[in-house]
Amino acid sequence: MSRLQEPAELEWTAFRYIAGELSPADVAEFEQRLALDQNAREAVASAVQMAEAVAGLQPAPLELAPTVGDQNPRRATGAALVAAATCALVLVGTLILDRVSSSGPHDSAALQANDGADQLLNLWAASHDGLDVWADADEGDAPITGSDEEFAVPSWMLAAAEIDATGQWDSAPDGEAAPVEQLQHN
Amino acid sequence: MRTADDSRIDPDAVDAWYAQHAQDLRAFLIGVLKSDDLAAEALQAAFAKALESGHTAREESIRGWLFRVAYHEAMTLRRKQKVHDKSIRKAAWGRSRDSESPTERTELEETKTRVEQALALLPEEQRKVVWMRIYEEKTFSQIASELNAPLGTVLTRMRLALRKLHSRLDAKD
Repeated sequence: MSRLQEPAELEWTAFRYIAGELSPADVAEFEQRLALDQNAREAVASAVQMAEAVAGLQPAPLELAPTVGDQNPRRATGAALVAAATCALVLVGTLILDRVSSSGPHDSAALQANDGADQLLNLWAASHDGLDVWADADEGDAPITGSDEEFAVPSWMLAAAEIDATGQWDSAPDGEAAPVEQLQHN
Repeated sequence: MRTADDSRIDPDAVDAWYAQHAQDLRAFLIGVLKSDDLAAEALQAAFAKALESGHTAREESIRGWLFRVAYHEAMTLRRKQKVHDKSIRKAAWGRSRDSESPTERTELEETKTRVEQALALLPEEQRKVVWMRIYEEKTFSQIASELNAPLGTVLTRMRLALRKLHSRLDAKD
């Protein structure tokens, strides 16, 4: 560390000094300088005041862009829509298969219905595991993350999984799927 | 500014020095001691010394004299007590504001405003490094890792940002 420093260099050294980022040897040398050089003392005071001002600010006014790991809402929404559409198609297919199988013996129909429901749930889980497949490659390398609520299995899928062996769609009066508890009591 | 016997300084003169320089001295002492409490103690000791021997200082270099005395007081204090390293944020901002005068608080708010404006003018990548280092208290290595940038690039961004922020702060004088 040179004794003769430009103002910018001195500011930088002073900042690293107050931040505890100088080596012990550099600290000793800088503190020797502080004993003699008013410019160095002023630089330390200025660095502390600047840090103090920054530390006292609130993050919001600075409008910092998200760092790596932050969620990209547009990408996540798009991927979720694709996943939902895929599951809806699977559901329709499962219902058709279910109705066809309902003409057979009761036990066989129930077995097939359960298989369909398992497939449906497995596909849903698989589609969420693979969300990154639909992510834009040029929008950062952060994995998509989401809350449990966001990726919860929707009620209509749970209702589909509970369709009885007759293939009847047990729906609520308003046309929505009945709650799981109600279906389980049927 | 001296008393009749010319061996001690007029306390009013020391009061005036305090009003003019104490805030900067306190910041300097925090930088050296990394502790607001110890800085306050060293500041008090420095002004006690000013009352005793301030008459030896030349009028034109009072500020430098005070800083030098304060530094020696800080070093003495540091030798007496084991000073634990504190983060910049805790040392600089974690202190109580109760003891500040309205003038000091106003000046601090003005400084904050100037820094905030200066931060807003920085390029995004520089602003982010400043924020992560000072506010989030991350090391430069951590910042480099999180931003997926070379350490040298992060250091350069910080230096450039500091230069601009200092320019803004210096504009008050």
